[in-house]
Amino acid sequence: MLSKQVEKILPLVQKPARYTGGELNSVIKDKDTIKLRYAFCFPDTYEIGMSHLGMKILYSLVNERDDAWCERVFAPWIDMEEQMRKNNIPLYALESGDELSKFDVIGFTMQYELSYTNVLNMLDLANLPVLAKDRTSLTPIIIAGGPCVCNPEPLADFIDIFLPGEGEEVTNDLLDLLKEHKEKGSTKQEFLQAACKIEGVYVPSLYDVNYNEDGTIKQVQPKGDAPQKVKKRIIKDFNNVYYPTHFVVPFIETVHDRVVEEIFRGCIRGCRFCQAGFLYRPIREKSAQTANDQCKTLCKTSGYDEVSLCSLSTSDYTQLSELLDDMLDWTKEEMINVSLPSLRIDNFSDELVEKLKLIRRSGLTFAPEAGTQRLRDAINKNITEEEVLKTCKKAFEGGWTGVKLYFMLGLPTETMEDVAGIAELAQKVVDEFYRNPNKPKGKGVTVSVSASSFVPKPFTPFQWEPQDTGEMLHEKQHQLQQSVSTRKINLSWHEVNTSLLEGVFARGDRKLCKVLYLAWQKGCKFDGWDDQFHFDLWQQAFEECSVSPAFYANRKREFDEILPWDHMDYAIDKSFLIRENEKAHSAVTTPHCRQKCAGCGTNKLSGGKCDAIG
Amino acid sequence: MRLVRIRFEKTGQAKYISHLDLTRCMSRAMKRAQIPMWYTEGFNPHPYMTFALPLSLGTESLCESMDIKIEGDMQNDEIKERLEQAMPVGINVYCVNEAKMDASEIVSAEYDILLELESSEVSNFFFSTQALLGSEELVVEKLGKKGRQKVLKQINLIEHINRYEVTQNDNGIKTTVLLSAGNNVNINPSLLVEALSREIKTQPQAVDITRKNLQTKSGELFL
Repeated sequence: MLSKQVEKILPLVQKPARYTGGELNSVIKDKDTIKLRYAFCFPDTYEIGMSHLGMKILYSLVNERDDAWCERVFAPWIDMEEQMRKNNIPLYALESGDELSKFDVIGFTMQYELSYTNVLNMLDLANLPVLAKDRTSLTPIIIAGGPCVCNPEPLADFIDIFLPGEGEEVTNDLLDLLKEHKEKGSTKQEFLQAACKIEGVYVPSLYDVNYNEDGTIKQVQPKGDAPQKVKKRIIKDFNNVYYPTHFVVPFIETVHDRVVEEIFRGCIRGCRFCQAGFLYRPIREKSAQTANDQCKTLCKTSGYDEVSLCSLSTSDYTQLSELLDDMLDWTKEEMINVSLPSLRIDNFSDELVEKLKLIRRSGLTFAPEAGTQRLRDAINKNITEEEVLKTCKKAFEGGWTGVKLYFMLGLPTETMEDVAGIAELAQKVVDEFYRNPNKPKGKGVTVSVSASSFVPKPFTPFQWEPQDTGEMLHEKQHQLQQSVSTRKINLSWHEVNTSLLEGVFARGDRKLCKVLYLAWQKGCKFDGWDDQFHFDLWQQAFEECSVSPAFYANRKREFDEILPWDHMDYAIDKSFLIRENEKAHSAVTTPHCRQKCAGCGTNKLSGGKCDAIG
Repeated sequence: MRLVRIRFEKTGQAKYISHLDLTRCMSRAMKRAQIPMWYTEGFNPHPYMTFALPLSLGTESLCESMDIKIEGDMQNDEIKERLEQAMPVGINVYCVNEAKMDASEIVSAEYDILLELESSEVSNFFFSTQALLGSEELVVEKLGKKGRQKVLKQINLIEHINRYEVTQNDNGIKTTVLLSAGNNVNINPSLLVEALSREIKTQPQAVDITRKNLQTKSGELFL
């Protein structure tokens, strides 16, 4: 329901359909029958937020309840924000058009560190105090989840409740509790005291953090009944976990505009740089039959002509072949495409290639991550050059003429030799193309090399490692550029300062809250967008707060240092991470979880069960 | 294979669906409604779907028309019934039948243009609009194409206004106007709003445009 005021500004902004709602399958409820109103906020543009699977799941999950209504909110783009502020239009939810301050729960999903300023900006656009301590009434209560809240400390001053781990169960537990307290007429403080007793709920205001003179953490002290460590929540029975039967179908094209089916959670690989690979453990698979049925339903209710399988490593799904057989049965007939992201090079089998041929051909992307075998061993990316080339050969024989290769610069133990190795590997891929006797006539090959900058993240074996400085990364980018000698290789990389800021907030503590606040006041928002990123403003904010970004990004931590996220329990044993870190420094690999259990400890969350070992 | 013409209204929030997005939206609606679409036989098969006259973003319409090709023997009534269930809010299918005319026969389109004004501005705007529409020349500049180049073109709107009627009330004025439309010249009614606001030096508070019908050279309704 658009207000007349909003209608007046819509002709003045780009892509007005971002702000209108009314999409197919969006849920409209009768306000009078609703006890709890939940505004699910994605702190980035509509196109990005609408591509996010977690939001689709939780939106439908909350709307299954008769007593609650979940609506969607996205960050308005610069032009819309300008018009909203000029015309005093507060941030509103797309379904009802009601402003956010009328809601009981405002939930943010924190997918990447560079969206933090948008959270502050959205609260402010809603005319709500940005600081949690200034919001004194019970509702709206501001909550946050998503991978970034594994270290929630840089957001501790702004958010009332964090939900580390998977949201499907804890969301309902929290809503039940809030409903009870709303009816009782509790204060916000009474509610927070009760909420912190739910497993998987972290109330930052119930913890005191003390620091040593050198700026490291001395102690994190819970107050009252708050637990010493907050355990993340997981779904034990993944095959029967809630999954939506309807997706909201956007009018404008979004980043991922298709049916998405999550086939398993977790990853068996244990690549040492990859946070997701550790955060989403233990491995839990959905059965091929369940996945196939869900795909069918979603295609029917959405009208999409594409369905994509989603996981951290699709080809590690044990029932992939069976699932593809089942799906190709009906998708072919209904002119629906199946797409498979996240395939691995080492198990790209002939059988899989044959099946992929039946599927519409899309781009081929491989992620060797590092240029030399030594460094690939150090980061535990267990693939060999031989495998990369063998797979590219297969792909070229199958008719592909372009390959994308993903690498990272700034990995721990990296030398200039490793950097040059990236160019050498890309060159070998080019050579492989020309070695194919049946290569298509008159067509060249394009090898796109994307070199991002490595950012050490919490709950990985590299959580203690120093991040490369901007200077070092620039030098490595230059070296890489020098090492490429053909135009058949397309080079691209990430803005160095963006990665630095990401690194600061990924491993930051509560001292960063005031930096974040000041940077936002100076006008920082949409930091993940190169054209909106103002590093100079960030530098000013750090200086004015006397906070050194290098302390967080470029400092090596000792294993015995208390880390800002140590009171978050993601069930990964620290001893396992230390073991993995030491192996990295001697370039020793760890076999994947199906070959041998590495003892990460996360199976204690699921009663000792892990689908990697049956 | 059979050609079917689907006629629909696009009103309310649906006016913010751009033409490109409408194509995608319709092909998904066809899938949800399980209409047996005929697919093109190229390397990259897609359902055949073509629109009579694209509508500008932000404009409502009571007379949109889309042609599809279907296989099998599904009847028009059933197609209409199924599509009614599958459409998003604001898109209302009111007729499914055979195509009687070709889209190339369209030469004009009738619009209602509602301009919301301060009550003190209404009568000046009303009389000025009548005077301007009755004059010889009302020029706007429009970015057009000349070959591959983009050039600023001067258009005299008066040449493309085939009929008009202006009325006023407390909140503003309503102009009903028949404008040149079709493959050759297609005049966007917002150009007229732009020209009027410029000449009268008054910016309307809100603009509401609805396309009412499409007409052929002889003044018949496009069917």
